[in-house]
Amino acid sequence: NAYGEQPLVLGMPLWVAVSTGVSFLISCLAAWAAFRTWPS
Amino acid sequence: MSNIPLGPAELGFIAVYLLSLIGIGYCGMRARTENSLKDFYLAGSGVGFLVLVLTLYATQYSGNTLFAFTGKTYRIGYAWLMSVHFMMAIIVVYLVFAPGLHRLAKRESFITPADFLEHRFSHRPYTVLASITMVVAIGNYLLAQLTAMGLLLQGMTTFEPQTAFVAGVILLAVIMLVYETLGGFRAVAWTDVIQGGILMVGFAILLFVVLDHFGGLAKSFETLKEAKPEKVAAPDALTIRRWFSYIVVVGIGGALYPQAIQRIYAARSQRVLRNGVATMAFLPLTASLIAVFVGVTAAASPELATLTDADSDRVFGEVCRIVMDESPFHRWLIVVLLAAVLAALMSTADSVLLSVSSMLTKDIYHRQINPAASEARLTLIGKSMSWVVVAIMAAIAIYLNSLENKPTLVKLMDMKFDMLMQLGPGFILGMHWRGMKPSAPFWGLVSGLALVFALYPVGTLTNWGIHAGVFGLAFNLLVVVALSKWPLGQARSKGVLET
Repeated sequence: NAYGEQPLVLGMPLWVAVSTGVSFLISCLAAWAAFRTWPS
Repeated sequence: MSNIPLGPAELGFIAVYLLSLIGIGYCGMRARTENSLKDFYLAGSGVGFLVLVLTLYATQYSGNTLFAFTGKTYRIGYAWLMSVHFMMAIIVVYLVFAPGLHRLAKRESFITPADFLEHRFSHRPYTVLASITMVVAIGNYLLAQLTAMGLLLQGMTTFEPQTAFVAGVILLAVIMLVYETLGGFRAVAWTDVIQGGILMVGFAILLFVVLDHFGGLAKSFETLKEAKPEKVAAPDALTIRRWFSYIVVVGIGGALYPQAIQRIYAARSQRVLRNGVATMAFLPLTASLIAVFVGVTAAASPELATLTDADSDRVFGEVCRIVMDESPFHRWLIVVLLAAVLAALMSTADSVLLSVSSMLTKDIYHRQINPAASEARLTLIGKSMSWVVVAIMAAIAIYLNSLENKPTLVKLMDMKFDMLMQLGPGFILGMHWRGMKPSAPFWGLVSGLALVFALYPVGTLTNWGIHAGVFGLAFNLLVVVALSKWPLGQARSKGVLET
């Protein structure tokens, strides 16, 4: 019962945009995990 | 803080806001159900979803987020994006131990964080040492907030600087003490709703005025790529190591803030706590990320080019000063923003103060000095303790500010997390590992703290980009596991864990 010219994405360098996007995904994962596994 | 002198009407707006906090404190007192420690420090049966989210938000995002985060980004550029990740790491750590801790807290009527350790290990030296570690770690945090309050008032008035600083510290500390003494946790949490709301509005205003005045992120990128390419380039190996280290240090240390643990206790139900934590997972994107965007935009601005790295904590104040001259509308936006800064400082300071007061009263006075004291007497002692602690801290803040060479508080801020994370084995591992022997976390904590303080003067390992706290925690865990697996000696601790 857990790497040259930087293309711009939304005004940010690519690595910043991807890292920020991953932040959002982690937020979604954390919220999902809370709802999925938190005891009632 | 830069000088941003306000007019009578604008100072009047700030005064009304401050007086409303005392009114909320009075309402908190009227809502009191009994004269007990549980009612004073945890609002009796607890708080609902909206209050929990806003009190966690207002407590976790302090004036530091606005001053230090924008300043740090101004210095190192986009690499401070790590602040978004380490604030999120706190929520990930909550997922691991908050449900079990909340369940035990409701069943056993915990009030202070050390109540859990006493219940879990029944090892008095560990309970007392853990409590002292937490008081020392967040005591300097309170000092930093009081200092920032004085500097903010100093910048908002035209009085002689030292006089304005002293008046600012005393005025804001007394207002905070009055509403806290009146309503306890209930007043602190309810004022956090106002302060958290203003802080959220403040971050939105900050993003709007900065992008509106200084131009968008793309423009900043083009400017920085030519003038300061290191601020938009991918971080080097040292910064990458520091990024990982910050995630571990703040993720574990920040989740073990005593005032945050008491909010886990104070949630009315598991459902409220679950919804609160799930919501908090998104809030770094509305606070830390905005501070990073503001810092990067400021770094690209020719209007702020004269600001040296040493003065970078003034970036936020300088941005306010430049923007407010544009129009009366912009001026009032900045006034609301300054109210948000005040909210950020006071909401963090009052929560820390309440937590320190509860630990001194329950863990030290009640547990060690006067176990027979009545609830009413303990509550009176707790309220008195708040006034004594603030009087001492305010005096230290005023003294430090009067010195020619003002000591930096940045080092103390880093020490806070290095110390708090040494409590991780007791709180997090202790929640899940039945085999941990009662004395193991005590010797682990002693070993971890000893290594942390031994590494500070050396600097060799920490210069490699990894915080002293990470090495301390590794040693701490090694001692805990070795003592718990050692075949001889004491019996294992009682199995009162999450079931």
